[in-house]
Amino acid sequence: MDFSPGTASEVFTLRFNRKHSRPVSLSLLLVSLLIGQPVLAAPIATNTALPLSKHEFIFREQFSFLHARDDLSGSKREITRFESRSVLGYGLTPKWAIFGVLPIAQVKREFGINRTKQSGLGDTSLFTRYEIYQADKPGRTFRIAPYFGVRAPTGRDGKTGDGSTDFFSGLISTLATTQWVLDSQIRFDLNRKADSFKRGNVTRLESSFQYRLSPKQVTINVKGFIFGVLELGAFHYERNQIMGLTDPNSGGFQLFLTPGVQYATQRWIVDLGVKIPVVSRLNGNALEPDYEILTSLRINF
Amino acid sequence: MKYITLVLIVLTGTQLARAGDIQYDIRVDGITCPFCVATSVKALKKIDGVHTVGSDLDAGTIIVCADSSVTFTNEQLQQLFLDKGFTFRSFEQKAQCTIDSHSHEGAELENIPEDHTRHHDRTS
Repeated sequence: MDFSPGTASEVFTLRFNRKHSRPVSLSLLLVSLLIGQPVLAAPIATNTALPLSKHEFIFREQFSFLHARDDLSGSKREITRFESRSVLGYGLTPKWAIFGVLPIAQVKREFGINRTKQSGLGDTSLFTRYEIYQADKPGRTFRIAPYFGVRAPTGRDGKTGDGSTDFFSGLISTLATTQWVLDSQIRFDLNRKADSFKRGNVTRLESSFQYRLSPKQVTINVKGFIFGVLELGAFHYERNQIMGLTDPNSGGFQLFLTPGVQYATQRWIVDLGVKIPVVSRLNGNALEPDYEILTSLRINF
Repeated sequence: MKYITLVLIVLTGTQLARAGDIQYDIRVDGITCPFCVATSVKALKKIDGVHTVGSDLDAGTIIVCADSSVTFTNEQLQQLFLDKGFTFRSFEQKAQCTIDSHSHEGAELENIPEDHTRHHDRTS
C-alpha cells in the first residue's frame, strides 16, 4: 500500500523553511509528493487489490533514493533522500488485511551555504484493507478494495517525523490475468495540523500496468515471471498553511511516470523502477525532483 | 559400494511409491501469478500423503499428486481456497500421476494424457 515514509523529509523541509528562506519551503511540496510509495502491491509505486490469504504474512522491504537539484537566484538547492520502508501485512480473513509500515529515512539538504543531514525513524503507518468485490475466472481476476489508514507521529518532530496524526483513504481496483495486470487507485491524504504548520491535503490517481515478458508460455514447471512495468501517477497538492496563513509557494500538480521491471516467484518478488516527473505545475518556485529510484523485495511466509 | 546400493534402493523405493500416486486436477479461478498461488500450494503440501503440487495458471488448475491415503472433498477444497482468497470450482481425480515426469522434461500441462476416472464439481 501507499505510504508517506517521506514524512521525515517533509517535516525536515518545513523546519528548514521556517528557519531560513521562503523559496526552500517550496521544496517541501515536491519532497512530500515523492514520499508516498507502495508497500505491498505487485506494482512498484502504487497499490494492488490482490488478496492476502487468511492467517498469512507478507513482508516487504523497499528502498528509495530521491535526488533533486537546481539553482535559485544563483544559490544551489539540493536534496538527496535515502529511505527504507519495512512493511508487514497480515490476512485477518481472506478479504480483510492489516498492514504496518516502519520507515527509516536519511535526508541531506543543501541550500546555499546551509547544509543539514537528518536521519532516524519516521512516522509509522497502520492501515486496513477490505475487499468488497471479487470476480474470478480461470487465470483471471478482478478485485476492488477500499482501504483506510492513519499515520502516527512516531518520528522525531521536525527531524524524522511530521508531528501530526494524519489520515488517508483510497480505493483500489485490480484486473489481473496471467499475461498482464492493471492496478488503479484513487487516494486522499487528510493532513492535520502540527504546531503551527498544516501540510496540504493530497489527492492522487495512480495506475500500474505490468506485462509478462518471460516466459512467453506458462508451463507447470515455471519458476517465475518477469514483468515489464509502466506506472502513471497524477498528484494534486493543496497549499500548506503556516501559522494560519496560506503558503503561496506550496500546492500544485504533478504527473509521474515509473518504468520498471519485476521478477515474481512463489515465495518472493523483486522489483526495480525509476520514478520520473513528466509534468510539474507547482505553485511558486518549489524544488522539483530529478528522479527517484525504487527497489524492493517482497516475501510471503 | 554399499553406499551406492543403499542409495539405489532408496531411490527405487521412492519411485515405486510415487508411481502409485493419484493425481488431482483442481480447478481454481482467480490465480494469476506464481506469487498468488504460493499460499495455496503451501497449504496443499502440508496435507499428509501429498507429494507434489504444481500449477497451470493459464488453465486455472492446481495439480496435486498424492498417495491413496489422501481423499479430497469439495467442501474441504472450497474452504481451503476460500481462505486463500480464490474461488474453487471443481476437481478431477486421475488414476496416475503424470506431473513429475512432465515437469522434469519441461513439458506443458496440456501434454498430460487424459485419464479421468472421477470428476467432482462443486456445483453438482
